Amino acid sequence: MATRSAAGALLYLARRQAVNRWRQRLRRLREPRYLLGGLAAIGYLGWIAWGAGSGPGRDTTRPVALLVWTLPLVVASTWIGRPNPLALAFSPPEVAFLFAAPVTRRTLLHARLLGQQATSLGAILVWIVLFDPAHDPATALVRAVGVWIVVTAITLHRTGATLARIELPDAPRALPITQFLAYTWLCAVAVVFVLAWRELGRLQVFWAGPIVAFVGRLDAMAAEPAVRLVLAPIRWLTAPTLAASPTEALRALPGAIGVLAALYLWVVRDPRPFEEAASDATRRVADRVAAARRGSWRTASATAARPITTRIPLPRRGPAALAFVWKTAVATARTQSIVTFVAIATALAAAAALLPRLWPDPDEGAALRTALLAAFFVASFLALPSWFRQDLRAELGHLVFLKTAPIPSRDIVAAQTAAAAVLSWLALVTLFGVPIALVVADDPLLGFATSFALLAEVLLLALPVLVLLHVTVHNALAILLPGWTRLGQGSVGGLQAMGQTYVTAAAIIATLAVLLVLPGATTAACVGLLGATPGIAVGIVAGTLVALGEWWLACRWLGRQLDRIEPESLPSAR
Amino acid sequence: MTDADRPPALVLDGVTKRYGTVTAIDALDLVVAPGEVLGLVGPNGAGKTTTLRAIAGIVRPSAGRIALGGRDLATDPVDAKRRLSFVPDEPHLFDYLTVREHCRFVARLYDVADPEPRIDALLAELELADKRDALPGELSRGMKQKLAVACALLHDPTLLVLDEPLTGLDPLAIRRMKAIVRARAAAGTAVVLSSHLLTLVEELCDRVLLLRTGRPVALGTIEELGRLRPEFAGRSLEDVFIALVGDPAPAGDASR
Repeated sequence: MATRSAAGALLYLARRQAVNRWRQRLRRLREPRYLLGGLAAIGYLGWIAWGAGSGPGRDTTRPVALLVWTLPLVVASTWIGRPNPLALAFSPPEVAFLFAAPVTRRTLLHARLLGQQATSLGAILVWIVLFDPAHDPATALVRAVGVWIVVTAITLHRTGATLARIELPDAPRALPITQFLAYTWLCAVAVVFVLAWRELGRLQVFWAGPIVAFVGRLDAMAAEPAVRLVLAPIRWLTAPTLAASPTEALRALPGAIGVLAALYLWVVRDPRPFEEAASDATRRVADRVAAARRGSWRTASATAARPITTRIPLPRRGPAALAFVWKTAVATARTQSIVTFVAIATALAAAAALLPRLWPDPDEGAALRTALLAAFFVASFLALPSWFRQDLRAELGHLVFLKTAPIPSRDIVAAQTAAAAVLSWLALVTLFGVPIALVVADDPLLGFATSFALLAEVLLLALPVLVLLHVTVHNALAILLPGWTRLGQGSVGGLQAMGQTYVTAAAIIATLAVLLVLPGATTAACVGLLGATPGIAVGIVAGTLVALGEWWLACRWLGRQLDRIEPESLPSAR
Repeated sequence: MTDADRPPALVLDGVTKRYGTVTAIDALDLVVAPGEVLGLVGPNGAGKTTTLRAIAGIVRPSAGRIALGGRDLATDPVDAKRRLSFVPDEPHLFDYLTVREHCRFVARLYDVADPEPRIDALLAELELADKRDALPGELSRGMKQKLAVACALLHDPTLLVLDEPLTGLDPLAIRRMKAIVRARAAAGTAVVLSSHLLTLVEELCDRVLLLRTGRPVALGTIEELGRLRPEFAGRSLEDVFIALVGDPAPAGDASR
């Protein structure tokens, strides 16, 4: 009786949540910004599905075939290293309502699996829309079922492996038999991988062969008897997804469902008392989500638990706005991982140094390096202001404090944007300073000394002001259209929110382009009047000064707009 | 069956909870009778929330035994939890369930027969009737708290566990909440509540358990606590609390 009522309650929860979620998203379309966002998202998806991405040249079978080889790695990742308790996380309301309710542990696991289904089904739907090349409903349906089986199997396996391995507080240890079987299988997989690696190394397909040959060879190896035996569970599981036709996929379904059923029974059989670990994991996941929304890599609890080694002194005298700069620097130093940035920068520098030397054709390698660096630099330039959000985008949540501070609003805008820009600029220089210097050193277009002098001028003068304008545009959007910006802890999901993100990104880039017209024209005029030398050097200085003037005017104007915002009008206040 | 015939609503027998080398609850013994209101007080980090979460079955004791309405929580958790309602300090609600749907979900979870009239009555009692079709995002903090309490009362628990129940409530709602607790207790429901509002505890609770660093410092009625030391005579719970919490030597069990 208890199980039946609990199952009914869980199904009721899943059904009503789904209905209300869609109802609220449709209702939100009454607001023009969400309607615009929804239309943009539909247009984008349509373009991907039926426009640019489709056609006879697009073949998704081969990339999908890599599943057979990548799934063992996914499996291995849950058995190697320390078990990750976050795999047991529920949502906070599930903990609040279900953990104290008269339901069995098995029902709790069912609740969790049911909750995960909502997410995975949505992802599969998008996957099928985006990557189904044939637009054949039967194939799409069978492939969707196949992908669902794979995704659900991964989820079940992750939960089961965590339950089997994790040390639960004040609970008996798990039986070692599952772990013994898992590690035995993984050893066999490791042998297969070593043999495959040696075989592929002899073919040298990594450097010279096309990707299709590489994947084709992997397919052929997967068909060899010994490999077939070791990877049998993975092959059965992925067979419906990899099937060439709906009929073949249907024939493969029983095997895949068999593996899925075995995993399901393994997970739900007499589960260990995981409630405390799950409750703790839920809190940690909630912390991480909150931290990510703040634009931080570290959770509040992790930050609090970490001894504070970063002490940035605040000068006793000076303009009051300096306190905002200090606050941003301290908050960033304590919430971002500087070590990670330095590690990425080191890896980038090593890659930039080695790529032309390791590539079969050094000139081709150098060209590839320049192209990759340029793409990564542009992507980082565009993304970093969204990452360092310790400016007005975070502080508008404390609008009452900002409005009562004895500082002119224009100074607040200037201090907040300048502080955030300095951090983004430092990150860019840390990441790209050495790799760009290597490129210039290998190919100094204007002579070694002149090229490096110009590089220094760009990195130390033009780039910070460029970043400053970019950050200011982000902050302007928060001030002018707070509903379009993620403020505080609030967030909106759904198709229209995705479209709104695209529209917002396009608007930011367009505004930045407009702001750069005058500085760019100034630089070009200097080069036209003075020639390349000293025109470029003088032009960069002149363009930078013009851009700084634009920024100061923008701060004055945005300060006036900031004065007009009412705290109640902010989305986070509702 | 009278209250005296019924088994205790809650029994804690030597309950201990350790996190590594830290002892959050240290050998806690406690019996709460049906209809009794017990206040759990103590400074931050005293182990109040851990105790309440252990009673709710979320935290597993390292040692000792917990029984709810005579059912052992470790060996018979489903039957034991059927007698319990737990309202955490922070009202965590499902984003996409309306107020009424939260109640229906909980009614289904606890197998409440004919829940609709009961849901209507509870929503009216807690002044949520106008918000029955609202999602949690449209509710204030106090309304969310009231919804969590409404869900907790739906299945007529024999033990109601409230962690900081008055947080975020306005004065009218506080008065209403106090009336609800009193009415439930009069109807035979045992209530265990934790709060930093000592005047509320003094006003509402039959007995008070004062915890410090996981250990029971004192347990008894307000009068019994007042008799622990001569200087406590006629003093408020706040004075007793500050004297005992600031005192390194536990004063003992007033009920002994």
